[in-house]
Amino acid sequence: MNLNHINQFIGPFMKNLLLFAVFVSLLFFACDSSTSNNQSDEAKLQQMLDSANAAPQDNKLPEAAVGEILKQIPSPIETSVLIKKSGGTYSKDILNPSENAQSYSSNYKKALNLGVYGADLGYINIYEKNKESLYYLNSIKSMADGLNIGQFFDFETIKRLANNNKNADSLLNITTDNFNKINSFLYEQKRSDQSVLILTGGWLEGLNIMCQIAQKNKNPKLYERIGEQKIIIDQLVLVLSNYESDSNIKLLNNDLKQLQEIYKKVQITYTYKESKMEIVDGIPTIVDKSESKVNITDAQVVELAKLTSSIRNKIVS
Amino acid sequence: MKKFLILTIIVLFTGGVTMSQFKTPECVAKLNGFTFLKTYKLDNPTKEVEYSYVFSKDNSYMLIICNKDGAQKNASVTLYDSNRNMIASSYDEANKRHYYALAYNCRSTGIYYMKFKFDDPSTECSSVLAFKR
Repeated sequence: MNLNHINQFIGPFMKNLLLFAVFVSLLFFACDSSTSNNQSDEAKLQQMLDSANAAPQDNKLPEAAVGEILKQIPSPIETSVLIKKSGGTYSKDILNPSENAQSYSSNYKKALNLGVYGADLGYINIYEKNKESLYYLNSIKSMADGLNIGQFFDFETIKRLANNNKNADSLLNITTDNFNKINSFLYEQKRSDQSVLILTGGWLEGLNIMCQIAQKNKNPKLYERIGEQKIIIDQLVLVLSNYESDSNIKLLNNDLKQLQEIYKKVQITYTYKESKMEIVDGIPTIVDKSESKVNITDAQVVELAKLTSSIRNKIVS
Repeated sequence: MKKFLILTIIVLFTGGVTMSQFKTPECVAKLNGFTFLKTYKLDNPTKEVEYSYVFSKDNSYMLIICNKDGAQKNASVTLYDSNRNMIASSYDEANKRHYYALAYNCRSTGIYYMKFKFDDPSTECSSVLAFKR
């Protein structure tokens, strides 16, 4: 479901609903001859409209819409592959140290850092640092067990795979699949807030890794991908807004809204052209003729990197 | 109000679809150089099922449909861009032919919609999304 559609649909609807409620209330007032006050009807109407505008609009997304948005968020694996292909060298220092896992006691921190470690593990796996991945698997196990979702990881199999560099693809597939299952399980168990936190943690870690490397190698493809995250942050802010009754999530979302403000300056333009299809090795293959272009400056990347790092540090500290 | 009704229909349409996923080694085995991203369970063949995902520019994506016996040719997937322009389908209407997969070389980052449709109501299958850079 397109974010813009949701915003367009829900925002006006809630406003219309409030205005409708005001209208119905006024009808009751008009019909009730015993109602007496000194205010003119016009003033009364204005007061009610003002209250309607001032009242917190419960723009909560339906649970199914939350699930739909969560499924749209791209895997941090895509970012890691891009970093490697753009010539970025493996850098352990930019990851969240695995030993930090023992300091996360709240479910809020565990969920966020499960996402962070998941993104780190993806990055490690892409560079086939299988031995290193064992430490991060232990951190993930600790976070997952703490959230009672450890059953989704067959750690013995994963560790066996991690002990052999030839199994890098299998290791990547199995860990990606486990994270997908966790998100599905949490959604079905009405624990979408934790699912959102896992995805947010993973996304922020991926963005942070990308920003740190882009500032060093100035690769235009990385710049472009950083700019494209404008699409994702809009979705995350929208979904996190559903859970702002939790003070931690409200603070996190306030931070993301600041990041969103910077992203508003990043321009993405689209040119639509009909695509072409050809059969390649027996599979219909679409050659896209449309194109998106991202306009993002060095200064914007620096600004995004600084704020992303600051938000991410609050999560991992 | 009209927009809300549309939203309700969309939510009801997609809401009945469980997010459950199951192991699909048959699908994964066909990835052939693509990196696995997601499994979509297609467990209600009586209706169309829609999922969405943010595709990234310069990545190639592969959608494979299969059942436990291997390639599934009684179901099709149609891909739409963020403006709901149809891009392509794994069903060749002209030749009445199903393909088990659809590949997409993306040049425009955005939300894409994948609509799965079944020809055979006894069909139970899954789809795997994978990517390559």
